Amino acid sequence: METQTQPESVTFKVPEDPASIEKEQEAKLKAKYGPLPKYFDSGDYNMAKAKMNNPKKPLPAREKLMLQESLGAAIPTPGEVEHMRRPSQIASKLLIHDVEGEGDGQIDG
Amino acid sequence: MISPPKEKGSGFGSKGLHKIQNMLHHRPRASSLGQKDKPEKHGHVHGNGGEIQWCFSQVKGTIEDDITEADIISCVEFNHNGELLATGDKGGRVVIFQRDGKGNPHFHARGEYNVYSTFQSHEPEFDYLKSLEIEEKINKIRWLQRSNPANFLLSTNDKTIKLWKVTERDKRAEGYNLKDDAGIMRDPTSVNTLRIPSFKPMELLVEASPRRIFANAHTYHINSISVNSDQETYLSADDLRINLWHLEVTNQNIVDIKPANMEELTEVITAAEFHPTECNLFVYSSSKGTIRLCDMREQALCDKHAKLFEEPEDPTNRSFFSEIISSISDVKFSHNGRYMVTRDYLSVKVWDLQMDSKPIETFQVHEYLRSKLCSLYENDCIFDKFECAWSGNDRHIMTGSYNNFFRMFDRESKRDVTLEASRENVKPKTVLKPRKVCSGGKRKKEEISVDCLDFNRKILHAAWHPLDNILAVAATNNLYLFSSKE
Repeated sequence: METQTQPESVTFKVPEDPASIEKEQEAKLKAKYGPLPKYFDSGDYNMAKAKMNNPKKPLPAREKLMLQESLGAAIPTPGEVEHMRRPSQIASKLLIHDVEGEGDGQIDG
Repeated sequence: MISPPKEKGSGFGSKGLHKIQNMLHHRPRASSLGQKDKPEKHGHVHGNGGEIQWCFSQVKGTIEDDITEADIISCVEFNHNGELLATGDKGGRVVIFQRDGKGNPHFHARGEYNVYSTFQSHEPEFDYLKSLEIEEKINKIRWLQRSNPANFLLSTNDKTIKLWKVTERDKRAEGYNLKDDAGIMRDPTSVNTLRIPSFKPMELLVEASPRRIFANAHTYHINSISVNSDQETYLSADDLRINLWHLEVTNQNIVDIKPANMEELTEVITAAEFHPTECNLFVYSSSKGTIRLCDMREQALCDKHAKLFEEPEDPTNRSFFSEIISSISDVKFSHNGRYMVTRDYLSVKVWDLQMDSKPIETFQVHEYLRSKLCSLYENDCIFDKFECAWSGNDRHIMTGSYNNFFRMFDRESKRDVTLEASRENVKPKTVLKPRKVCSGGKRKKEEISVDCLDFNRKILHAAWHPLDNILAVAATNNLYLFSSKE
């Protein structure tokens, strides 16, 4: 994560109160992305998300909920459904007995 | 009083060592210890005035460069007496650890936690009607108190809650008439004597079986479950609704904030919990930073809260981020039931249930992130949901942060400390070194700059033993256990 702010040693310019820090951050965001709608508007974007129900970016509350109510467009392929139906046989790695904080060891319990 | 030497390297009596370590780690180089209240005034048994010296105890899980998503721990929960510790992961698995009863009797048997049981709680599902995948990730685990002698826990993913019974078997019946000891049926004509089967001891077998499945009651994703103090009912909450369940399956909806027109939706439910002793009271928190206290005696559908807890805010101070960072990610009642703590993105707040106008205490978790909100929005970290926990005596609060740091707040001394869950430089019984983040200007040696924090290593889930000072901290795919040095 990079910052492009001025070096913060110029203390008399840095705002101290939370409100102005936030407004400065908001200005930075707007400068990058233009005026921000409070909620996403794009139906296409939402439908694309609905396809695999795997949003990479968390959606604002309303959109997220409407997705959960609505029908997705995806038609699952047999491969996808098989993956989901196959029970997981792999044991949790928390079962591996640690010795002195090292990562390897025998299965515990 | 000098205790006998514990192991090489400790040498001194424990009290003497505590005092020295206190001075080095927690206090500025002041001339006297008397700048704050003398520890003895607080009447704590331990010599350092109730301040806790945390030590690394154990770590579970593996070191991996490429973490398997299924191994990411998604919840951690002690049972009511702290003897059992359950974890849930993204792969739908539950692992239960049990506190080892053995231990040096001189030092009050500080037992270690070892694997007790594991089972696959939830599987991924596909909702064919909606063409949506249902994740198997375990969102929450809550234990029931009864253990008759079985243990029961509730585990939930986004859609389905399950009641699991965990039983022990340490005896096996032998000497059946109709089958031999390997379980193979005997030829009935070869049976010409009758014997009574007897129970023989066997190696302990812990079995988990699902006893109830509570499904199809939530349109939206379940974020909380909470067992009532009556131990017979529990609540489950999703973004818009809270349901009350009787463990014998029936359920009713008790909160519904879904507006008739979804265009009017402005806030969602983020967490909910029953009061620890008042079986008719529960709270739920919202994405707008409010908490509502509801009384089920008032009416069946608790849409009208009994109390609304909200801190007033100057509207001119609002920014694009204000609402997002005010969203409450966790709410927990204190053990004594008089307070609750809420966690929002940058702070933890303690509320007195008698006072809804503002919190009685506010602690900054990582205020240095306020000037990084733009970046944190871009990388989605601003939506991370951190949990918080009370110590058994309600004096301390703990919550997670980034870079595998976690924060401890002492409500009495008003002091706070930052610790790290890390495999580096940890030997059991060595006190953890406090960490410090530098937000700008000159970075002192040992401090870490904000820009060097690893935002992929976040401590979202943690639990504090209900009675002792033992912390279970989930750091992505590893579970750390810390205990106080005593």
